[in-house]
Amino acid sequence: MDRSKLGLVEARVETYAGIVFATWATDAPSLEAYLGDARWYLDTLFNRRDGGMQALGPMKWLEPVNWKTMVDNCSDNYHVPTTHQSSARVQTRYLGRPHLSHKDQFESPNRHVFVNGHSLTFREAPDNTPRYVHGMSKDTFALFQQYYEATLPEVERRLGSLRARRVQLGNHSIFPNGVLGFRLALPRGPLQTEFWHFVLLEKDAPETIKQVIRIGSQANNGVAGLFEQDDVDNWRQVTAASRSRLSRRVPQDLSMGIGHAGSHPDYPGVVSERYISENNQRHFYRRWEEFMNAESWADIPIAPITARFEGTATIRG
Amino acid sequence: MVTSRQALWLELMSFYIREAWLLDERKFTGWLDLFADDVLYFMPRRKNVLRRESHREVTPLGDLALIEDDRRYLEMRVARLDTGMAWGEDPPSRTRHLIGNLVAEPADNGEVNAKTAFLVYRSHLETDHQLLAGSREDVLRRVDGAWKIARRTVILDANVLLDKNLSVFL
Repeated sequence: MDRSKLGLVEARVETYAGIVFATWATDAPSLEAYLGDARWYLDTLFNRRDGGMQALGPMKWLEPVNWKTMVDNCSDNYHVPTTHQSSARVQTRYLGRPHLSHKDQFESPNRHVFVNGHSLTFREAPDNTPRYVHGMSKDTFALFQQYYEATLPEVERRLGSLRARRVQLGNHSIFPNGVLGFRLALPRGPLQTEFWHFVLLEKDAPETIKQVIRIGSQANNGVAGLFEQDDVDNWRQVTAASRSRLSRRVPQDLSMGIGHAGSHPDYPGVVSERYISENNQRHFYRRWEEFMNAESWADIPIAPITARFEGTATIRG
Repeated sequence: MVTSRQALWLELMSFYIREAWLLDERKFTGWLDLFADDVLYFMPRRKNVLRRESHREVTPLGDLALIEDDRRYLEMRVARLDTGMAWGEDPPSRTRHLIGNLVAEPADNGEVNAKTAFLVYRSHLETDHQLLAGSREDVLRRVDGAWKIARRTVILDANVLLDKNLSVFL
């Protein structure tokens, strides 16, 4: 008996800013190549500080949906003012959260960017403004502002001026099934997905900041989250509706923003003109199709890295 | 002859039965009134671990919880339902809260530690349904003659949540 052939199947493992990625494929590109220019944006969330990040969780739950619905939802910014209106309103009233309306969403300066298979959104923020997270309220904003200003020199050293001060990653998905920041949509069958929801915190952030982010996350996302409770029936019902014969005669319309995206002089990837767009979704489904039809990794185009990574941060942190 | 411990048990059992009816009859403002202003409503996660690691089974305060609400967040959860746009609970769930296994222990400071078990059945929309089981560990305090919940810790009998969401109150 040749024992050397009886071991467990080994996965190939690499890390990005402490996040562990694995693949079964021995011929897959390196993680660095796989993330490509997406890392230019992802760094602005995951790679800000020397101490790196820690993960709380995961919270786990099952939904009778296909995993791709979650990725689609992640770049769907137009359902938000309708689906999440009640949650936004009470939080505006009680916590002074920014107002949420169709007008605000449609006029948002944020944009889609599709880069090497990953569906991201980002904004070019005004200088000296911390990135908005759930949990920020009129009571805690000063805390976040203080933390932002105190850590800016470190972040600028690591990411360069533009990314430290102006580029803010929004809701995003790392291909194939990483969504938001940070959740996995694990397929348990064609119409079954298990969500693993994490909250990522900067290790060196003060306890007060960590607590506010943690509480904000559970209050909005997750099984009991004010925002997320109202998403669930949407996902379930679009899934159930898509299974009918009649429904299959009506393909999903993903034409929003066709022709209104392209390359940008300052930002890598395919950048949409507007936040309210289906540019990411179109590219995502095509990317999935590419993966499904490929005989091997050799058939899957990986966009070369073109972004200039200013600062000292590397893929390892 | 009823002992003081038995009297306490009867009083608290009535309290918990009243709470159950408030929830099942969707009288959520009345339900909110049962909580003290400084309440912490805490529902930790529960992990699937070996017996010898039981101390790691329930996540401590400070880890990601399912719910970690102060009074304000509880009020927001209820206020949301009145907007007419809380789609996840409009049409509302049909619930049945069965509360039992009450054990009440007076503490030294006049407060009471009480634990109860629950079985909550939830029916929603056409055919969606969910059965939630678990326990509540409450710290109860007398305020102006009435019991108020100063702290509630809900331990769900679940690891991966199987159905929909946790939009009903426990």
